Amino acid sequence: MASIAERIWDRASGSYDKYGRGPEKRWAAAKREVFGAMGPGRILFVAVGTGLDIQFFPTGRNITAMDISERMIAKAVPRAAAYDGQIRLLRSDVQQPSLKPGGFDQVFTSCTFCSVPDPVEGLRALRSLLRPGGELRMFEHTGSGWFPFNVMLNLMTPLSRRFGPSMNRNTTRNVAAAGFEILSVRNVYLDVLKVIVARA
Amino acid sequence: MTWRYFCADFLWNAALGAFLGMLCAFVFIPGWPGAAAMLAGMFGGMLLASVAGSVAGIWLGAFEVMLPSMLTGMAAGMLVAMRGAHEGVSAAQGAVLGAACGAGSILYSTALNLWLRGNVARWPR
Repeated sequence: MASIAERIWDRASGSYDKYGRGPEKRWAAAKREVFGAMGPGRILFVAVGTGLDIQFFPTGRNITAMDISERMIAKAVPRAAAYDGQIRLLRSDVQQPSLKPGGFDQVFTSCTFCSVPDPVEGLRALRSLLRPGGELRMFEHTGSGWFPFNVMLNLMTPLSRRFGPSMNRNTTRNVAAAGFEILSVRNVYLDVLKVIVARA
Repeated sequence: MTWRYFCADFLWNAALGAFLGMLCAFVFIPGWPGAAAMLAGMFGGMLLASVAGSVAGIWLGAFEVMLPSMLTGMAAGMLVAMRGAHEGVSAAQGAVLGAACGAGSILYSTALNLWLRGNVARWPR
């Protein structure tokens, strides 16, 4: 039986590209920089969605891209096929990944941990998939420490959670709570959109 | 590209503020209790702005549109509603006041963003 998260994202797959177009364009430079750090090793990309982020991947990489939604993956297939390198698409839950522990050198996420039901458990699972010293690079949105944006994000969360994302998570703290060593945090927009780099 | 986005954000927030200000000028007239008008204008404006912001996001981004839009809605709704309840506001006055709130909102958001963006020395959030 499909989980709640899977049902939410299956349902969202129809309009995902339409609503993702504006943000993808605006975030292009930041995303190019994040994914530009993809090395030559074994890479896991969590929550590939419909594959909108594949355009920012450097060419010639060997990437396993997973998502919880079968319908999202179906939409990602043509984008993965057009990539100049190797992308293996996989349906898997980040909280219970069906992958070999320690099998990756780098893990990338993009607006993922706003939606994982138990983010610390999901991050712990990712840590187990990385080799010791492996790298986690995240492009995520979080809550804010600044008025009035913190109030707005808190007010939006009960509603937005029904469609997928929570708007007020403290992802940086969750990364640390999952046992990662945080190497850097860079704000992309206010203190809401940020790039987090951590080591397993 | 950044300047183009700034101009688009500015125009969007000014237009949104003007529309909400006009709407509030019609709704909030003398006779409304001041506190009720302020709260209704503030939350109503924020709610309408969040819906409008999510539509504008298709072209302009996500949080970069949503958060300033909500601030515009909050400020325009609150100010025009309070003034409308106190002494009445014409549609044109409401639009001007709302547009000024929109401009103020995007200037505040942009200034705060310029200050916050970049590497964070400590990471509580």
